[in-house]
Amino acid sequence: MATSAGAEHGGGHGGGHSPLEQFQIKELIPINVGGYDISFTNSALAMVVAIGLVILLMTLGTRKRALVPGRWQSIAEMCYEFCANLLRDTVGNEGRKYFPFIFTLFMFILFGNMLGMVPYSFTFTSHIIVTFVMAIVVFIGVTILGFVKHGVHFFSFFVPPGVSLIMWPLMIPIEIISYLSRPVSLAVRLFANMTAGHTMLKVFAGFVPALGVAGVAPLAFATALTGLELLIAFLQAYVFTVLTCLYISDAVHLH
Amino acid sequence: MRIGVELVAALLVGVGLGYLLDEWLDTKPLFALLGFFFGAAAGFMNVYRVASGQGSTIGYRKPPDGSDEPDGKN
Repeated sequence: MATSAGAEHGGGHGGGHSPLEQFQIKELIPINVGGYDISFTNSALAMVVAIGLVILLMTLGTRKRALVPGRWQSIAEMCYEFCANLLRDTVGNEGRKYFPFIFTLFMFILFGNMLGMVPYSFTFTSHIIVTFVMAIVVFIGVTILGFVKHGVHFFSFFVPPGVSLIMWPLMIPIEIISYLSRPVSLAVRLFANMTAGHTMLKVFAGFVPALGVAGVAPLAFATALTGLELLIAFLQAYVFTVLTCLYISDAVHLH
Repeated sequence: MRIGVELVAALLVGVGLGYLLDEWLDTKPLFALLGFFFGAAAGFMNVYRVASGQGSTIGYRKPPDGSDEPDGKN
């Protein structure tokens, strides 16, 4: 997909593409509703593909319902059990009703990250607005959950236990900021990991043709990095999910 | 990576909140400055919580049986 788009910000050392070109949003089907640009972009396409693959995996996996699972069913069961165990370990039995949300979140991020590892594809989790929207949905959801479960008592969340009354004016703003920083750190963590990793991969890949025979060294490094990136793609999906579980657990069992 | 993000995020939120309060109440540098210090404090608090294996839970209370979390769940 080496289009001319890279030329405008690539800087211009002969023929090389900018390592950031991969993050460019391209309109595929321009849609304009009431002055808002809601075009179908390559990012949206990547999301649709991710959701399609998850649905495909799950329907293929659950179609046979064999007692001894086949390959597809094993994968589907592994994903299910992974999320179920995660939720049980962090939230406990009350966490069961949040399973659909957690499972959807995990599979969506995991497939988004993994699809990004396919050459020439697009990593939608490398855009902070995507991760931030996911984080803010989690944040608002968890806050509402806390209020529904505990009412006004939810505000005791902002007073750390064992703090004397004199320290309250100091501690409460700190705790509120600490609470509000959750979606930011959640979003930035996923976005930064994906963006940094993919940029680094591209930079090292760019060294390979530039160095000629000595390009074997960056090639080997890029190969190793690809493995690391696969690990990070999984790990960041896991971290996002685990933190969501922890937040739900906080809201459910308030001290 | 995790620690750094935690620190910066709290600082950003603190300053951002202070700045918005300033815009609203027309007290230009006051709340942004306060927010900076509170944000920094919150950031250190978050880092401390992550480092001591409490997750990033605020209002965390040690389990009553005194058994600490065996692994930092992250």
